[in-house]
Amino acid sequence: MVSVEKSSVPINTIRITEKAAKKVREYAARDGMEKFGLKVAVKGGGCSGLLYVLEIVDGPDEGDKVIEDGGLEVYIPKKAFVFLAGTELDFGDGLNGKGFSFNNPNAKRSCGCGDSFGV
Amino acid sequence: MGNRSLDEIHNRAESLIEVDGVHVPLRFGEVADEYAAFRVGAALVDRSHLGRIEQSGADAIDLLHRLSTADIESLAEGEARRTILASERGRILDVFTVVRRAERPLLLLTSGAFKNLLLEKIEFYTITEDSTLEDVSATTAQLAIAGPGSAAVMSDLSGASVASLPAGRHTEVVIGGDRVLVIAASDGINPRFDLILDADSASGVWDAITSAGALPVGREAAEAYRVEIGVPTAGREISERINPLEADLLDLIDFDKGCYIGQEVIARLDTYDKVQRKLVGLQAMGGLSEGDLLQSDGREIGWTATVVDSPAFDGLIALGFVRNEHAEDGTRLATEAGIEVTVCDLPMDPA
Repeated sequence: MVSVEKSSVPINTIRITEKAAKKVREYAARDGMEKFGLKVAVKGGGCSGLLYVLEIVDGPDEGDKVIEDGGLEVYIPKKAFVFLAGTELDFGDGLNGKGFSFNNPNAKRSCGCGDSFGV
Repeated sequence: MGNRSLDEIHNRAESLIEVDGVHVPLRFGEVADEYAAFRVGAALVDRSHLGRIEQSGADAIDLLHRLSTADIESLAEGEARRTILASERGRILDVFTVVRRAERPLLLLTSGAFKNLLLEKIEFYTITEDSTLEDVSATTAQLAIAGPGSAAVMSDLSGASVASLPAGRHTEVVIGGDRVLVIAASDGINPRFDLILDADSASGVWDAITSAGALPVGREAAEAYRVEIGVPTAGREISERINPLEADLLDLIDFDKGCYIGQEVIARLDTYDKVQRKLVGLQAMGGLSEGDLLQSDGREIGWTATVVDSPAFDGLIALGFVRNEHAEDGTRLATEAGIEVTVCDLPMDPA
């Protein structure tokens, strides 16, 4: 049974935990990227209808909402933000760690793997 | 709505019936003759009341692959594939065919009943993707040539290479001077060709096909044949009440493709054999209506979905769903009104 903590992130933003931000910086450094940000988006698909998309990119696309958290720039397409408002992005490592995970107050359902959610 | 060319076809029908808000021919002549065309000849059916959607954009295929049950990613130009849009709970929202054409938008062939739902759902899940939908149902027509003689008719119209197209392939031909997309399909018993064309060309193409030997057939005979061969249809056997395994649509699910909407539930149903009811044929000994509850020893165990008067069975037959333990061929059930109903394996054998 997975217990989900209620997110306390304000509804006008999303939050990146220190663990998640650190992991993003590690991946960017591994790829030799100096200027980078984290794209957080949503696309249709997955068991529950919507899938999270994470990507390290060198800058925002036109129309992206830009948020700074944990010393990291986060870019969110406006159409995706409505599904992500108030979300906390975390990272769990170790053998049983779930990698990046989303605590999304908009998600009414999530599938077993945690990559997909429904609203 | 209405198109003059389609109206010309409808004017030749003896009577019309409204299906999903659109008129379709009910019959052109004797129902028994029209029914026989499906079994021993070639039947020509107006299916323009069904839904046709064009989907353009660079992400169209990727999007449909992520949303629906079949492997759409591997669909090549010249191919058509049926797929299911399911709900998160693994129930059927719509069954549709994706047609991939060269340098043209994708064509989605869907039902009339669930077309708007399909449009709405794909639009909802289009977030940042390059994908645009256009409902072309009113400006296009859809005809079908079905039955064992359909290949001979197709050969007469467009040559042997078109007539021998395997199911799931399509090509563009010219019939009576008009461009027609021909999609080869199968109803599980006989070959079928689905024809998509400009609505204004409908009556000209219709005449060319009848001249090549196909018999105009109305909905009454087409429904009788559909029920006998056990093909589920939108709004009747296919609804959000039903999951794809219950409706015998296993073939439209790719169990290796990864996630799609409803995948978790559908995979669990399959793996743990959790499917509890089954689509069956039903033969009635008296009056039967759609939506009648079926009972065994006074306990409710299923319902009827489509009821037709079958020329081959000389009486009422139906498609319906019953619980697995009552799905065996020959099982006797009863309606609430006490009418006796016998379960038949699908396809039903009129012999």
